[in-house]
Amino acid sequence: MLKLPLRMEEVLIMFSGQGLREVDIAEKLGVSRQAVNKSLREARARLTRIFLELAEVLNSDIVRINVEKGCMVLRNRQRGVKIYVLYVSGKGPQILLSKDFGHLNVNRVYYERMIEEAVKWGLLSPRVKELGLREALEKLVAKMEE
Amino acid sequence: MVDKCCELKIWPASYVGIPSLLLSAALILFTFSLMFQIYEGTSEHVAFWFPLAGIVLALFSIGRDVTITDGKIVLSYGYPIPAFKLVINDVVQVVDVNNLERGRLFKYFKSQLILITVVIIYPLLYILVKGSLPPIQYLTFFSLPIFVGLALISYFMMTTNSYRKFIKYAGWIMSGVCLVMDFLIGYYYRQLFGRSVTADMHALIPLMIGQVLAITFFVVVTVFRRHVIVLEDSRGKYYAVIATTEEYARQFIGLVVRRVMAHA
Repeated sequence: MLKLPLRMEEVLIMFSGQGLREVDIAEKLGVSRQAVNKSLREARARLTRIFLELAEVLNSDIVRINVEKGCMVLRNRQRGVKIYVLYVSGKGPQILLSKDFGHLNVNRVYYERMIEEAVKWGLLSPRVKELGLREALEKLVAKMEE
Repeated sequence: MVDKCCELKIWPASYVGIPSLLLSAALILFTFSLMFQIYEGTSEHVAFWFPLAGIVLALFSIGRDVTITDGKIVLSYGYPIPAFKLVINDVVQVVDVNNLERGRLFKYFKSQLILITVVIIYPLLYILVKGSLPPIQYLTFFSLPIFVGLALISYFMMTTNSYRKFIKYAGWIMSGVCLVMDFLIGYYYRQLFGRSVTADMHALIPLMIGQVLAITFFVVVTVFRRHVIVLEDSRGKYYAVIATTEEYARQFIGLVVRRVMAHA
């Protein structure tokens, strides 16, 4: 399964996206700091393996992988096109195939969820929700390309 | 299992931490040693030891090899003998900067600006050492191209969308500033000593050496296409390695992801 256990997702997003310290997370979840630390390490390693598996399935090379921000940029070996991947909690890695965001209205829910997750991971600021969906997606891609 | 990445033609870059400090120190020592060559009150010992210390520091900052073992990357520095090692335990990000559309190396390594600043202010330092302090109108003239150059470089540092483009722009700006400064220095020298600066090789050579070295560096960086791979650890500290080709960069990223990041 290309998904992290829920507790690991929660810990990783609290640490990376919300910028909480390990002690704060431990207090919030009622566990020890060592347990949080172990969970973080395990979550990062598992997320890497998930991304790696996806890169192999998509026959692509990794250009960028950032497990603290839950994102990855790939380049397809045959076509040379870029593929943008964001880990969406509860769903697993989700893909943006190109920069023209075809069928924007058909896939609106899918894209909106990606923007929401990008905010959760701290990739985009919450103010991005004030923008239109296309602009927000362009911002997300630009952030992954920085 | 240990992977020596030297077969991949990959080596550590001196952009961060101790290697960066050593390189900056070497550059400053070189600059001062060139200055001492023209400053008459300098003892021979100082003129000898400064460049020597600069060479030693520069050699210590040279990236030697990269080793990957399960869970960690070891960057080794120093030439011809290994001087020290940097160990990266928990990598959270790997980026091939050359393959990003908006990849800017200066986002990760701001200390690179030291090198450019030293090169740009070199002609001004030269004037201050060679002559007595110039009158205020000359000083304004001399400072103007330098400040314009630094402002332009800072602007491009923030706005260019790739490291290669930035290096190209920075190279052009520096060459332009150096050229303008050379004419200004030549003019000032004639006002001060009543003869052409080209007639005084003792004054001309140190001025030219610094500029020729700087411009050669930028030409080399622009002509040889290297891939810069940035690594970030869980403490938010950045490291860089350089690959000669895209294929080596791709293989190295694959190794790091499999052998370091996927290793809990």
